[in-house]
Amino acid sequence: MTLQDNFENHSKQYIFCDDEFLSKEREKIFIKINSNNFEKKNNESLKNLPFSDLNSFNYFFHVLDDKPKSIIKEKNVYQVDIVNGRSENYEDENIKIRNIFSKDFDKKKYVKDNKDNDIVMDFNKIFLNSGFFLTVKAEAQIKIHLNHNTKKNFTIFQQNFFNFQKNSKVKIEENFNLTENTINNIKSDFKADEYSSIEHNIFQKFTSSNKLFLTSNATCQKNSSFKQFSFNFSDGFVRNFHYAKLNGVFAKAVLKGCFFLKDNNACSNKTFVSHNAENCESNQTYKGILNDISKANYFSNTFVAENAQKTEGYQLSKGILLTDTCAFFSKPELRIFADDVKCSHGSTIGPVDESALYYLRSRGIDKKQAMKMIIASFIEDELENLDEDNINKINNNLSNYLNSV
Amino acid sequence: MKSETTETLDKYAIDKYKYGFVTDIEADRPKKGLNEETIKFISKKKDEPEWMLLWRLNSFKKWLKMSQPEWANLKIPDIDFQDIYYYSAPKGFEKKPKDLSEVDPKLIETYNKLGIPLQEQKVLAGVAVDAVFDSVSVATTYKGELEKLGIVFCSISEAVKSHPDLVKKYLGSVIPPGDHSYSALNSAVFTDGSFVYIPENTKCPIELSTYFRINAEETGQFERTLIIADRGSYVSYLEGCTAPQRDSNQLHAANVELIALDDAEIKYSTVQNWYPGDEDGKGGIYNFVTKRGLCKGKNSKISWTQVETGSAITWKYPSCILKGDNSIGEFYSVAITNNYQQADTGTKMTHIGRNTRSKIISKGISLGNSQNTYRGNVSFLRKSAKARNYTQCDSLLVGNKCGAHTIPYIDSKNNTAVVEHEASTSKINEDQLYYCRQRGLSHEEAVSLIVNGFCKQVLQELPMEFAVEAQKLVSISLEGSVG
Repeated sequence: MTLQDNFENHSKQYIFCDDEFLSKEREKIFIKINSNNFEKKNNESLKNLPFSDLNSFNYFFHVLDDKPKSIIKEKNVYQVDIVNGRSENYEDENIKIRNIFSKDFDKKKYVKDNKDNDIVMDFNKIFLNSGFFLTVKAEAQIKIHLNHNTKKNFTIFQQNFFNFQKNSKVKIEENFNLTENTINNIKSDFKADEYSSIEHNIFQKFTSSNKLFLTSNATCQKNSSFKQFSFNFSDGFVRNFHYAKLNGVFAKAVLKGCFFLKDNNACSNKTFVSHNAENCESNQTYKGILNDISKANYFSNTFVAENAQKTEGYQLSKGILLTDTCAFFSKPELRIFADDVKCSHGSTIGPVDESALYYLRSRGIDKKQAMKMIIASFIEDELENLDEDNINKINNNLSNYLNSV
Repeated sequence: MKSETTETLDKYAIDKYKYGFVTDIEADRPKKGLNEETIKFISKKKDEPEWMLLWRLNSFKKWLKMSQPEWANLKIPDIDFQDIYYYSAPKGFEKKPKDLSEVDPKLIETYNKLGIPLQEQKVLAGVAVDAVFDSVSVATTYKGELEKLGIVFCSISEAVKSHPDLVKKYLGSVIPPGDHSYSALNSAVFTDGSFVYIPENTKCPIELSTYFRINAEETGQFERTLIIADRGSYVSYLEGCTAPQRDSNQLHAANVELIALDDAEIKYSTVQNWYPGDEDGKGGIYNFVTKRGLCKGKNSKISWTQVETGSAITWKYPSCILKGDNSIGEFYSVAITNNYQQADTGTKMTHIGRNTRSKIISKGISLGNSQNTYRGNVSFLRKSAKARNYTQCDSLLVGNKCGAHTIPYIDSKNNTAVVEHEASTSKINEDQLYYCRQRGLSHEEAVSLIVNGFCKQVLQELPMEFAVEAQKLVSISLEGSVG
């Protein structure tokens, strides 16, 4: 179905269609895209994703009767199920969750909020059908299991808003249980208040008929810390675009990710850290392994504003190509306007290290096993801060991936 | 009490651009503006054959349909292409002087001011010089000696007439006129430049050199350089540029094409010191240059070395297409921007052949209110088995009003190719500064020493006579802006 068909047939069914402002904004964006009035050639948001893939889909969404649950599994550990974009409203002394309404949208922000002419975000705005607010209250120290469950053929266009209040300490584990033929276009805003500390681990593993476009914007205030780790073992297309703004002094952002591609799968990754205050630190690291005819890209960007002195910003991108038919593109950017900074980036793309392979084989290890060992060690650094359950989960997925290599 | 920064800034205010003199010579120019008539005028002045005129006119047609490239990290004011003189020759140059004694003594004086005493260089340095003044190549030294070896070193206008087969075959083969709007513009109106052909198995015994100078006001300089190194040959080519100090902006859009056949090597060095504009950003040259080398044959090598200190706006990406197996591309660059200068410069290494290798070393230094961007593209195509690239780009920031940006594009489609890229941005190391100051150096001397050390990896790639000049230029560019 074309964009026009989807828009015309379903525009009266969207939630928030009662809001005049949102409806007008949606129409504006729809006209822009439908009339092809946007940059396609150098548009980073479309890299490795043909516009036609984005444009033609069958819009399908309705609110189910069986309500999702938000429960406490054990003390300070929460499980929040998101079924087809909807969650259960819930509140206790640590946490508050509720679904969004049209009046929740900051209209100015809604209009302006589109970085780098991101077409995927334009689609998110046009078809927006779900989302929730999640507030972690001040001083809370909790762990949240966030499970996205999307039923067959559903198309989810979601905007979520997380607020971590002062001194909170949170660990979020986000999982995607996507059934079949789903589209998940999800944008999450993370607001980290002073002295809060957030660890956000994302596990992406689903079949090839599903697509996931995950965008996140973190805003960090004074002395807060936001650490994100994404692991992509999916057979379907994944777009990981993650942004962080360091607005308070001594704030810290870590955006890391690993992806493992095979067959004709593709993935698109981008991280962007803006340093807007003094003494902030950032680290952007993405590592990928590509097999068969898969392709991937990674755009990383460190921006340092004029007043953001004493900044430390690091970027690293590493890719291993296992066949001569896969392709990896990386663009590590530094844009620096302050002089007292330490910023660097490194990027490597190549095959598995021949000398390491030789070393292992000369000690009696067969080629396949040696390859597995080298690839496992390639991502070892990124696992050091994870707990045992997560490490086991990643190792199992990695082992499955390596068996297919 | 005045701070050290203020003192040195004051000092810089007196330290003006020393190449900013104007030579008062009557010039021969067509009407302003770009149209078919202008192109026909240039072609007629150059006494060109019909095929050359047609080539120019075709390029002009392409230019008409193209818009200026907009992707660079530059703020380029609108350029009125109809408000530029596309040809300016010192009067009486239709008939070229046979030797230096026939050249206008004022011109010779100009070159002496620039520090290029042609006579002296002929004898002492052994450098063959082709000096291009506005649009006309003034004199080519050492021509006779080179001819004995079969080396052709002449102006491109002369080569069009004397070596039409070579020019026809290679002109536009590396930079097609339709590549982008500046290459189309240059192809339509190029006025002069150098042509070099090194025959098989010949090592050019001396370093070939060109000095470019824009003298006349409101004049664009569009030189075209074509260097062909035949099998097993070697040539080192030097290029220097200056312009007078004027309030208006002048356009410089050059195209340089290099072709290296089997086992040939070309080393191309540039010291670019066009007038950068005054301390408020008024005036200066818009330097939009396309430089591209083709390593066509096996085991060929092309090496670009550049020291970029001048120009109000620099838009320049000397590139290598590594087509022949085992070919090598190198790029060494120092780019210094001060006051309101803007530079978006870097390189493009396209690996096509097997075992091709490339190395990129780029050093950017930003001072004052300037913006300095490194933009590089390294791509490995499917057949570039065992290819390798190493890139290092470092930026140094002096002051918090300037910007240093690094934008590399890395694309690999071959699983045996290896690319390694690293970049860093920082300020001058306090410990190094302290060490130097402790040993009695002034703040400015210490900074100059550290910056020269920072650039050394690139400067040492320059031929000796250029290295000394470049080192001085680096120091001059820093004067008054450190603290």
